[in-house]
Amino acid sequence: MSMGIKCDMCDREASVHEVVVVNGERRERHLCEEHAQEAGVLPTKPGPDTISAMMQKMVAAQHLSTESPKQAAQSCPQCGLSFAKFRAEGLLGCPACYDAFADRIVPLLVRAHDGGEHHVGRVPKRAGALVERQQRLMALRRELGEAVAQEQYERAAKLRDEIGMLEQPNGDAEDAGERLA
Amino acid sequence: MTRFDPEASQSWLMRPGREGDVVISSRVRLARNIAGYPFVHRASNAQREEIKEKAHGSLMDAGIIGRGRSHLMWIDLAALHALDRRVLLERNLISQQQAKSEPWRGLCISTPDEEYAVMVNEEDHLRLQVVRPGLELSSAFREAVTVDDQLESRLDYAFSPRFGYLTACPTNVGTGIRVSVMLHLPALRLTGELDKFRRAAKAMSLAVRGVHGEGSETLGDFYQVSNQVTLGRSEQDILMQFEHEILPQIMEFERTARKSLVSKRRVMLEDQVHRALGVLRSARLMKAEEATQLLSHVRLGVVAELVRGIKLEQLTYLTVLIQPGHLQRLVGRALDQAERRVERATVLRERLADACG
Repeated sequence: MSMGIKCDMCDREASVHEVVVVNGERRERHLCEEHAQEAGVLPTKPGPDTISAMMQKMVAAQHLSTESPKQAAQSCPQCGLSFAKFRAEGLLGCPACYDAFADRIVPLLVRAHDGGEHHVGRVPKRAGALVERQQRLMALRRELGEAVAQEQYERAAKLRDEIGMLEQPNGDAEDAGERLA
Repeated sequence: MTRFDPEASQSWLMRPGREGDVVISSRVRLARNIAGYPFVHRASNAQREEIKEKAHGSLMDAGIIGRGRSHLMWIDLAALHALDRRVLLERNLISQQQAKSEPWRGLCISTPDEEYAVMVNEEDHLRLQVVRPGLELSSAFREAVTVDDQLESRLDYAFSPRFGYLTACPTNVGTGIRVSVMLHLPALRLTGELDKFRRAAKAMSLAVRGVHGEGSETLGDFYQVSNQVTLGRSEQDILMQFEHEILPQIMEFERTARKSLVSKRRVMLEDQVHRALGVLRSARLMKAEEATQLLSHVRLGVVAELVRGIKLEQLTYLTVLIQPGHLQRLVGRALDQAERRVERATVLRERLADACG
């Protein structure tokens, strides 16, 4: 479709070609998608991409304003994801990241969710969702991975048993259910 | 190798829907993660396999199989023919990301209606969606909740009382719900009033995008409207906003614009509709974008009673059937772009044979 015309602003191939006639004078403009968006000729990319793009923009802006290098290097104790990596990719590493980075994530949530900062709505009936148990499971699974990698099969078997016990749906469900409610 | 036969299905795409003159489909999606694992992009392959097995087991065991009119089909995406993955993508049963062939990507769909689908190991461990033709948000939500409850009794979801259902991307956290409707708004564009609709959507923090997401945003005058806020507002609140605020308003805008076109610019409208039908019924080479636009004109013609012999749901299905994956699946072999244009024109001529002005 395109004949390989380059964008007026950069070296990329132009995807938007515009001919404007002003006072009988013909003017051509060729722009790549990005510069066409910048010039307002093309709408900025809509859809779910925008949401994560918006999130990334906000994360980046926050970074410029308040963050110390120490904060950027801070990482989630459960999965090891650094805040800098979250900022680069827009995705958190594990459920525990929400608490680990709470102080910096809450302002982002408030902006992304139109002021919303606390959950309202459905809640799982099962007590298994309790945070401490989730985090214990996560730690055990990480240890299990290490044990298998190091061929420590006895340790791995023990860890598997422990995981199995924690996964039991009837474990401490009743008690925990009350606490959650 | 698993096959997915698009022509054997009786997809929701082929059924008429309530308010179908404006609302093509209603979709409710819930994002869920299983507790005790990293999110998909940080999980090891072994963990992803484990998650897949857990999800597979729970889905099959959940008794959702006995849903009466349909049963569940489990698909290991890596074991599926590439062309069939493309077909699923064109039907919006999987995302671009999920159409890759890593062995840990899974999908569970209800057949033959395809109303219900769970993607396993996409951005979140579970992405559960229910789609229905026309305006059916409440029933789609009820169905999604039923499945969610059944899964929840078998799996520990990652959840925090403060942040709700925890998701890989913070834009989905909270309810994890994405409610969306696909709308056909040709008259608002023709009368230059699309801004009215965009403003109304924006005022309610709703996102608007074109039918295939990127590129030509106005392709076929189909628009998808979805909620962006998932934290701090309940599922019911979001649904109510769609059903009682935004949708009645947009439907009224569009219908008023249609009436005005019929009464004030009738010849222009008739010309556009009949021209579109003429091209679709005679062309020998057809690009997908052109076909989508022409089918959109014919759709408006059916609603305005200028075209007979074809139903709205047949037109909905045709917009999917003319996509590259479907065409190739239909003829049973790979087609290059030029061959697809020939095949697309043929399919359209055959399927629109009874339509007349």
